Amino acid sequence: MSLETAPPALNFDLPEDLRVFVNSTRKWVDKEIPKDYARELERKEHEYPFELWDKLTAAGFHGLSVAEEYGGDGGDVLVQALFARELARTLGGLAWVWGLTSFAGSKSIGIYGTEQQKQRFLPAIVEGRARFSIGFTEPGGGTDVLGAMQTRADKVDGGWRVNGSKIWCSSAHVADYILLLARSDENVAKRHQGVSLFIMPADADGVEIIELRKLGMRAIGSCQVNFRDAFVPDELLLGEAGEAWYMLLPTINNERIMASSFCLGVLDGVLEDAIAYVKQREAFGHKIAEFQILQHYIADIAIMRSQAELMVLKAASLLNQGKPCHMEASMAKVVASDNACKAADLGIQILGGMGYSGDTDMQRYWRDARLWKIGPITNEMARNVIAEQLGLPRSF
Amino acid sequence: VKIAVAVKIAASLDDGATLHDGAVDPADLEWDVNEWDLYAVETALQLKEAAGEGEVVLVSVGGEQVSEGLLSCLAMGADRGIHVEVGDEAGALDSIAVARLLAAVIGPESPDIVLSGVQSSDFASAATGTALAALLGLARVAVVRAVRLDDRALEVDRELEGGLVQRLRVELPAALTIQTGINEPRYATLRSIRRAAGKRRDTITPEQLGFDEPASVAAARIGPMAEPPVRGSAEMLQGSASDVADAIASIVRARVS
Repeated sequence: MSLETAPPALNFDLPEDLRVFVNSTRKWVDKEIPKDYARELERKEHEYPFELWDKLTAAGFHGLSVAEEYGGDGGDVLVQALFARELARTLGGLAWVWGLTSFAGSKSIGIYGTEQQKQRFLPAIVEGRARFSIGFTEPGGGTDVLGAMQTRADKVDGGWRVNGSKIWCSSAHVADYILLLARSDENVAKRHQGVSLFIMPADADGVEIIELRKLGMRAIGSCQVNFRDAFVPDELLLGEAGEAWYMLLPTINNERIMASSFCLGVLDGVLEDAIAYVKQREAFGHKIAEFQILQHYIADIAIMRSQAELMVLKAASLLNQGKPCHMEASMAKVVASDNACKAADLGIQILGGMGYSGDTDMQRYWRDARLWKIGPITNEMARNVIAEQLGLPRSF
Repeated sequence: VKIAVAVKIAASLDDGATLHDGAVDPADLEWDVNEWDLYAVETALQLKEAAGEGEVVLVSVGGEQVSEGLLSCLAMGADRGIHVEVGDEAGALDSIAVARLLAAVIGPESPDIVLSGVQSSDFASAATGTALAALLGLARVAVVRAVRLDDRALEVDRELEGGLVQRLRVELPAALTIQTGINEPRYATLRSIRRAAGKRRDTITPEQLGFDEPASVAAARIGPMAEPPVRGSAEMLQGSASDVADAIASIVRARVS
């Protein structure tokens, strides 16, 4: 090595085009969907924020990860992660208004759809004409999706007849389609076999949608969906019948990275608000920013954000390159969600009574972030997966 | 129609910025396209769209930050960019120096319209656009809040004090300085950014433009910066709302009588 050669260095910088994209997105977020706007939307339980959906449509964001040939921007996992982060900085959990259709709709159809399905759905998603919900979890079980699965799809002439119930179907009450997982074959050697994915029209006869109440993300609406002899035609089967579980596995890492990116955005929002508050609030004749204990809380939030940022971007970068990242994506999800919850909790402590107030965002971040320790996979189950990847026996 | 837009990549201070020896540590600076210039770029794009044809050329004087700033404006729809690379000298250049460098690039381009923002968010001299017009020998309208292309002329509304608007008609070629709020600058989408990465971006040095060194074209030298002195003259009023109101009223009465 000659003396002129620069020492080897890891490059943590985004490429120029992505820096410009993040900057442009941040300006859009600050102007169109600032925190007080998000707060007003979120507090309206059972009122879906159609206006937010329309703003995302007008800006072309529903097409962010749709291939250019179908009218989208062709963004990859890293782009999705960066965008999800910017949205969640102000929207918190309401970022799912974008994420749900981008994941359950464009991602799944983009990967597994037939050409005909892509032509039918992807341009409609880009133009904001198709909203998707997701129907995987059942009332009888959360993480153990396959063990708890009672929903059946029976082959009939021209399609499938679906019976059963799904729970935590986000925004199903306003969705055009539900990405539905159902058992289509009982006679299989392993329970991973014989399950299928359907693009179920939400307005089909026999589909009953009941909104649930919950701690956070109130406006987004989460639903139980009951299917009684609901018919889904053959052309809305996604991928091969019976192969759904194997189709879902490659998208799991993407989903974990997306959830951890939302948590990273929440960490951004919490840190911003905490710093802004301590700089203006006075107590005992001083700005509270001068108090060491609060400085330590804020330093802790910044550390937690930095930790999550490194792990999320690393996982996204690995997935982008087609490298194995199951462990990294699971770790990022655990750390980002644990950190977002801890940070929002500290944020409330820093703001004191104002942190508990519905007129600030800390309580919203705190309520919204709590979900991500549970979904899309519990942090306990994610740790099981990490342990298994380390060669330990499967614990579940 | 050919439109040249002078774009500045302006600095802002990050949360932790402090002054040392009359200067801000470059590490404490954040860089972005000057807000006024975003409106100027959008104005250029709208004028080109209204004309149905044309070219929007961006010219920016600055250091390494310019590349990213030009890319974001190219992503809005501008056709090509020219970076006058002055390296670390950017902070030492006053408005006249910048205008001289811009004029050396824009003059040979022979644009029909030259646009810039009214001012920059960091130095706020509001001088570069006007100096540029003078150096190019162009008619100039400042603080423009509406513009319409009418064949070989522009109909322009400019902002005056007190909310008044002055309407002018100016023959091309002409130079305008653009006020914020004249339009809604478009956002760069991922696709437009990636397409813009393939657009032409030229880099030129002051030496190539015939200047010995960038600072030699400056009319003024920029001295050290300082925080404004803190004066302990604020009086904190205590008491109920009506007590405070009474106190304010008596202070005002004492000052105006």
